[in-house]
Amino acid sequence: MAAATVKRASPKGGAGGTGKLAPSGQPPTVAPRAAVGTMPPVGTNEPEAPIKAEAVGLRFSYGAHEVLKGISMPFRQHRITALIGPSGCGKSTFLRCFNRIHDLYSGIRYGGELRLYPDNIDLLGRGINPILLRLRINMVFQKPNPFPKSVFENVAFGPRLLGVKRKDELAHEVETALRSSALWEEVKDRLHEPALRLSGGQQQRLCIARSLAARPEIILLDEPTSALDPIATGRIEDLMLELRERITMIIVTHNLQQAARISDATAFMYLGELVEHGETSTIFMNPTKQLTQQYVTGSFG
Amino acid sequence: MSANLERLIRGRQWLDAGFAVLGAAMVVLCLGTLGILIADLVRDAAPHLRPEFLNSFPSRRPEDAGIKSALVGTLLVCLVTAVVALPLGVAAGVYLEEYARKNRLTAAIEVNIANLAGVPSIVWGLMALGLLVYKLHMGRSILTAGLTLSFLVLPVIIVATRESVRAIPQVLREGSYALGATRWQTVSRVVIPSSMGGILTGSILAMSRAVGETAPLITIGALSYIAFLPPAPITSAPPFVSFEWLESAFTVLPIQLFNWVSRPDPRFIENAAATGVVLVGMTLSMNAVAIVLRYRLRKKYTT
Repeated sequence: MAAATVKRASPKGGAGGTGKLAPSGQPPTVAPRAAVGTMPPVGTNEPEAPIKAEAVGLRFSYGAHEVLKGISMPFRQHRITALIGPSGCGKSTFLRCFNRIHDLYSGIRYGGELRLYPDNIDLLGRGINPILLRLRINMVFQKPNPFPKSVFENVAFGPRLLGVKRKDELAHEVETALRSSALWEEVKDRLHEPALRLSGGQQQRLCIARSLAARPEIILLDEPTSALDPIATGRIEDLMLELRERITMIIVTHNLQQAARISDATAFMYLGELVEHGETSTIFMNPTKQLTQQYVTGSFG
Repeated sequence: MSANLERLIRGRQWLDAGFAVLGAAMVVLCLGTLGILIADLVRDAAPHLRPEFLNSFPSRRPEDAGIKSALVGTLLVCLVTAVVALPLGVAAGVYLEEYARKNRLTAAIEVNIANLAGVPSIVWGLMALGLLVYKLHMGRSILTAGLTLSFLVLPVIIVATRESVRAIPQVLREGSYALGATRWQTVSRVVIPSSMGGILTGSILAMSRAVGETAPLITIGALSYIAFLPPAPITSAPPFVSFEWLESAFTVLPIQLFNWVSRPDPRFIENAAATGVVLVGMTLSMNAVAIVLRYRLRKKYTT
C-alpha cells in the first residue's frame, strides 16, 4: 500500500507565487473540480463521485455489548460525510472502526465488512496491518491533543513515521501542512515553542496539520469543534471545506447546524443502527423516516 | 432563626481559624526541630568544614582524618546503582504500563513491586550477601554494593515510572497510534518524553535515599577504614578505560560516619558531624536537582 497517494497540499491562493510549495514531481492525482476558493454549494454536488469506502453489514461489540448492529452505507471520495445522532448511538464507535483504533483495546469484535476503494480491500480483514491502515486513514480527536513537543515536532511526527529524515524535507512538509491548515501565518515564528502554548483553536488546527502532514486519504474527525468557541469552530469548518477538494472526510458531530453547514452527505444513527443516510439537504429538508425528521427538527436528542 | 444561623456560622468560623493556627504551629514545630538539628550538626562540624577534610584519608588523629575515600566510594557506588537501576526500572515500569496485558498476573506483580519498595534495606543486604558475595563470588566490592543498592531502589523507580506513565492522557497515545505509529514509536516518541519529568524526579529521590543507606552495605561487608582510592577508571595506556575499580574494596559516607561516632575518642564526633553535613548537603542538592529538572521539563513541554 502506498502511504502517500494523496496529492500534495496546494496552498490557498492558487497557482501563482507558490512555486516553492508546488508538488515536486508528483502529478496531481485529482482533477480540479472547481477553481480553488470557489466552493460549490454544499449538498448540490453531482452525487456520482466514486465511492471511497463502504460499510457492509458492519457490526461491532465491546465484550457482550453490541454497539453497531449491522450498518451499510457508502462514503464518497472527496466529500464530507457527517455522522449524526443522539449520544450513545454509536457514531464515534463507527468512526473509530475506519482506522481500527479499537484494536488498542481488548474485548472488541468486528463483524461485517468495511471496504476501502480503489484497492477494494476489507479494512477489517485478516491481512490488513492496522499500522499501515492508520498511515492512510488518520484521525482528529474531540479534544485537541497536540503532543507535548514543539509545534514543528508535532507536525513532523507523521512525515517521520513515513520515513522522512532530511531536515530540509521535514521543514518543507511541516510548512506545507501548516499552510494547508491555515496556521502557518500564526505559528511561523513560534515553530519551536511548545504546542501546548497555542490557543485551543490553534491546537486543533495544529492537530489537523499533523494529520495532513502524514498525507492521509481519509481524515476521521470525532467532534473536532465541540471543545472550541464559535470563531475557532468557524475556522475549522472553513478549513474542512477547503481540504474537501482533495481529502475524504468523515465527521462525527453533535451539532446539527454544523452537519448542515459543511457536509455533503449525512447519516443519522440511532441505538447502534443506521436510520437513514443520503444527501445532507435531503436528510435535513425531506427525510424519509419519521425518526430522522424528529431528530433534525429537534424533537428529541 | 437568623440569629441562630449566625451563631452556628460563627462557631464554624472559629473552628476554621483554629485549624489554621494548629496547622501553622505544626509546621513551625517540624521545621524548627529540623533547623535546630542541622544548626547543631553544623556547629559541631565547624572545625572540619574546610577543603582538606574532603581531601584526606581517614586517620588515627581526628584533626587529620578526612573523608576522601568515603566520598569517592559513595559517588562510585551511586554511579553503579544509577547505571544499573535506571534503565532496568524505567524499562520495567514502561513495559508493565504500556505493553503488559491487564490481568490478575500483572495486578499481582503490581502489588508485589509496591511491597518490595517497603522491604527493610537490611533484608536486601542479606540477600546480596548470600547471592552476590557467597554464590556469585563478587566480593565486597563497589560492584556488589552498587548492585545491592540497585535492588533497593529498583522498585521505587518502577513505581515512579508507572505512575508518571499512567498520568499521560490516553488521547495522546491514541493521537500517536492514529497517525500510524507502532507501539514502540508511541512509547519512545510520546509516552516517555511526556513522562520524563516524573520519571527523573522519582529516580533522583530514590537515588538520594540510596546515598544514605548504611545497613545493607555493612551487611555485605563494606570496610570502614580505607586509606586508598580505587583504581582510576581512565588509564594512560590503551584501551584507556578500566573497570578494575568495580572490584575494589570501598567505604561510603554513612559507614565512615558510623565508624567515627562509635570511637571512644570524643573528638571524632566532630569528624562525624562534618560527614553528616556533607551527606545532608549531597541529598539536599540531589533533591534540588530533581525539583529544578521537573520544573524545567514542565516548562519545556507545556506552557
